[in-house]
Amino acid sequence: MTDYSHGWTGRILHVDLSSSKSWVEPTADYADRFLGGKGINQAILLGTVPPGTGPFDPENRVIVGTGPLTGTLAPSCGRVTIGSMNAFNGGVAESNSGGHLGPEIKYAGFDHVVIHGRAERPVYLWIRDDHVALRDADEIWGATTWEAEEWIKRDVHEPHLHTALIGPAGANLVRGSAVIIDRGRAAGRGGIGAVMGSKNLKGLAVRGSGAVQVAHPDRFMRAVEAAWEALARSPKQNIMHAGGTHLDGTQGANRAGMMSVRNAQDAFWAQERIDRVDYPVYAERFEKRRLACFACPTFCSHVYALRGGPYGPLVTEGFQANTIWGFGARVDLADPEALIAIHARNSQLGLDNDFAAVAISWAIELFEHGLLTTADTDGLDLAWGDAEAVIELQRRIAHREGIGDLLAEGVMRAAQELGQGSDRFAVHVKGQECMDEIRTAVAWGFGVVLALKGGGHVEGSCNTEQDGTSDVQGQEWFGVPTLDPHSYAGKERMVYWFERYKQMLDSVGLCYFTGPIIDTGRRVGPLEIAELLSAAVGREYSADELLLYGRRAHNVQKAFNTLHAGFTRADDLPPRRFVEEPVKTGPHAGVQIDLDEWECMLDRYYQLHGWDPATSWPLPQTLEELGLSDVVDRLRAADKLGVSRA
Amino acid sequence: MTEEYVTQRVTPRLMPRPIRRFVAVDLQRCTGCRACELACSWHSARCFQPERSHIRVYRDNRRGEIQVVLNSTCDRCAGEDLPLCIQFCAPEALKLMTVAEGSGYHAAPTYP
Repeated sequence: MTDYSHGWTGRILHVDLSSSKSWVEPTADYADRFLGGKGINQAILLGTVPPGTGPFDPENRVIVGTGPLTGTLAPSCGRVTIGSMNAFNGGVAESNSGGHLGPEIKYAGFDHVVIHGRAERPVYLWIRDDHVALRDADEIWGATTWEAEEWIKRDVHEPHLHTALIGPAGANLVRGSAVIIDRGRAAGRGGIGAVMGSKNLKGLAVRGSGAVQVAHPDRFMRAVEAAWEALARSPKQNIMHAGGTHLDGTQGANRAGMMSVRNAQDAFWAQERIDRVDYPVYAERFEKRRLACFACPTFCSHVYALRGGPYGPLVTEGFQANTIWGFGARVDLADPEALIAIHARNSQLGLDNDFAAVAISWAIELFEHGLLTTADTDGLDLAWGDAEAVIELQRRIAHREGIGDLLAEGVMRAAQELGQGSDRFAVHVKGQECMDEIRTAVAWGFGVVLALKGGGHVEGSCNTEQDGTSDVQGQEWFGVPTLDPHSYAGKERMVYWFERYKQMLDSVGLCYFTGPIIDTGRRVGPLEIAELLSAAVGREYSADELLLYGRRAHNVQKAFNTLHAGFTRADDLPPRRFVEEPVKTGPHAGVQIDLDEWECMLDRYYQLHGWDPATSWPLPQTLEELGLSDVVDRLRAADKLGVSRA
Repeated sequence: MTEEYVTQRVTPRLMPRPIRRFVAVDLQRCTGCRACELACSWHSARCFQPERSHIRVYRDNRRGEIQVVLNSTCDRCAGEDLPLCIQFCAPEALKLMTVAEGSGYHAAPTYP
């Protein structure tokens, strides 16, 4: 019988900002069905957020979650996952971050921290083991996350705490506000920073001195050693060590057509421009050291330092591929120092990189077409590749100044307000900015659009079409006839596998980069995780059972989207630009989404999932199989249950 | 760091030479992952908690600098083949140094 004190701490902390009360609930209430991390976060949200709640209402919750493996020596187990209602669309928001906060929450004695209500005045939540307090944050309410972190360390006389904080963007309810962890990491998507702003919550600070225990110590350490060895043997590990996805996600990704250029007008960035911001430039001029998250042997991160120049002196944790894709290719900006400054400002201001890049590139394109002029921008000229304009827009968005106030709402709403056909250039999925290029690799793009948390490539997307996996391996592992990136046949099966695997991964607490997203078929997968988890918590799990947990979590979130955001099949279609405009240059020139093929693939995808192809809603038997009968009743009552069609 | 004395045949006559082994850290290679803290708390207390470790890693994220402090209570994992902190140091920042006093001989053993 599982006792929930091995792996897990067994305790979920609840804090109500309205009443300043806190209490503890046993993790046992959820762990058997939902495991931990994102699985439990989203189960709590589905179970407790009342119908009709909006993201900025006090009845929304923010849940900071860890997994049963967090804080141990399992590789890369330092992640933290934050769930809430999505500020863009009222559906699911859940964003995962690196750093060292997750383990500290476990050491303080908690698996999850559930934050309810709204404080009357700005506060931050301070947790030191059993001491849980709401402390005044008036002085730091408008501060950057960096200033706030320093201030909090002095406020509680604790130099070694870990934080999750919002910056001025969150305080100003900018929809694309991020939660910044430990200065340099982010839970960026879904506008959870804005939700915290709506609660008058600057963030949380944690220090813990308890220990994480495992049920079968020797067996656990053997599983740990096997997992570390699998990573050390992986051919991609050297590349991650050398430069992370800044190295891995630049030249090769450009050739694979993964970068939208100029707000997705094209999907191949000019060689002479990408060469200026490629990783070797940074290794030579700016990289101070390599850097790792908690217990991570992959050490994909770095510290970038500018000694002088227009943006220095500046020291910041460095960036990964998303900055090159979003602020390099997408705004056609090839200034390596400016990218460091923009990235640091995203962290300081508390802005999501992907949101800001898309909103800014939309504004520049509108300026190009005369739909925005200097009259709208208070004299600021917008042009592709203009670092100063981009940085100024970033600042205005965070502070909702002038045009920034419009952009802060996200391109979907901004386009509705502006009109004049500006929605043609607004690239969003389920209401949230879509930074990913989706024309050039079908499984990748399909995963991006279908992602339940409002688009994005960290649910069902995979790199399998581009990472050298052979067609034979594709057939064996996924039943896909070919891994040709332009082929639609069977690609939904790859997305279905990665969705379940990733949900499970986000529930146990390990990093995305331990697994097949970096190298299909290699590194740490469900088999290794099953062994780690079984030894840690003292209850046997198989790889198949873990994928079932992933499927259950996926359906919990689908139900939340259905009930609260009202998504239907139409929300699973790609943004218009990718259907209407082909890629202009590069190895994938001429490619665009074939909507007929997409619709057929969608039918097959819904069938795999056990969802109604007419509406996308889950069928009752699917939910029953997963032990979610109570969800069936709720969907039926809302008239949003899938219907079997013979 | 404790001293051991090994008797060796050294021309022209027998002479005791102390050999020291200690854990050395290359701070530039260190990535601040803190796996060493966990490996050590595991060895010391069969659980995971950095405060139960004899090696501590302090990250100054503002300056991008890292300090590593090894407590003299470290027993270099007596009973294990190799200190656990070194086993789990992925960037190979931690090394086991062997020094034969007076010989000017420093060596880090190679291992697979």
